[in-house]
Amino acid sequence: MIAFSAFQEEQIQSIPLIDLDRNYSIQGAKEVAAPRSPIFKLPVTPDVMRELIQKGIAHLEERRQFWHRERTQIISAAGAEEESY
Amino acid sequence: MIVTVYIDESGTHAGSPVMTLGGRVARLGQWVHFDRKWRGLRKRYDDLPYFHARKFKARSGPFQGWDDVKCNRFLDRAQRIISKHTLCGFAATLDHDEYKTFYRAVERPKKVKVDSKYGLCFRLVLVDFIRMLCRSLPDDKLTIHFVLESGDPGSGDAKEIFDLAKKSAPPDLADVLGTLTSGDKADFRACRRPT
Repeated sequence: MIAFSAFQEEQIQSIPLIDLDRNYSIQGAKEVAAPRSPIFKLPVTPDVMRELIQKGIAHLEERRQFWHRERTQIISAAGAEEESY
Repeated sequence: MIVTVYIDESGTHAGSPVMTLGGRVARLGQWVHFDRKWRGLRKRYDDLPYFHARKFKARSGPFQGWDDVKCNRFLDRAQRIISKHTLCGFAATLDHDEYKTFYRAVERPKKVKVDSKYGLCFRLVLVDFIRMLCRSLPDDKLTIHFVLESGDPGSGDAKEIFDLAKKSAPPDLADVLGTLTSGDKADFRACRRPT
């Protein structure tokens, strides 16, 4: 493979690369309006992966509790109806 | 304001240590100009059928026989078009080994679904990058459309994640999501660009 020329490397490197601010600060937002059409870097790091798994587990637990509450309410409502007879 | 994001992947082939999901963002009118300029550039280079970075680097396929001067000029012109006619771009990167160790192999309840590599990168783009974009383009009627290249491994996951986000993401995100379309490079000319 023919090596990339120094000029081409320089061209690629001249594209502005910006670390995405995951706190969505306005500074990051301002960069979009910059005239050189920057590229935002989004590395999917181990921390990000852990965070997503934790969120998945939390969401599952939330759903489990929701259905538990719903079931309990239905059972107690049915019980109350039975008692009224 | 209508914004379209064109997305393509790279690094899913065997031997590549990192996968990248790259994309470019532009307003509807900008893409029209981009397309016209890009077509002009291809025409100027003997009706170049497409741009493919790997083939360009290796000077193979349609780039066979190109010397350094020709390559440099082409790249310079291409970059000018991209800078002038797009708002910004993104590159989500994922290390294949880290994905296996810190995501796939992690102990979790069976019901917690894990994403494919493509899906994981897309999820991050959707959550983090699009939110940032919303803040930077404050518009009550902002709509963001997505175009993926059909046949990309794992792109089906992206569709699922997108549909779910439209249905159940917080309103600040769900309300701006428009459509997600898959298409061949031939159908979506703006796909034929370096990212």
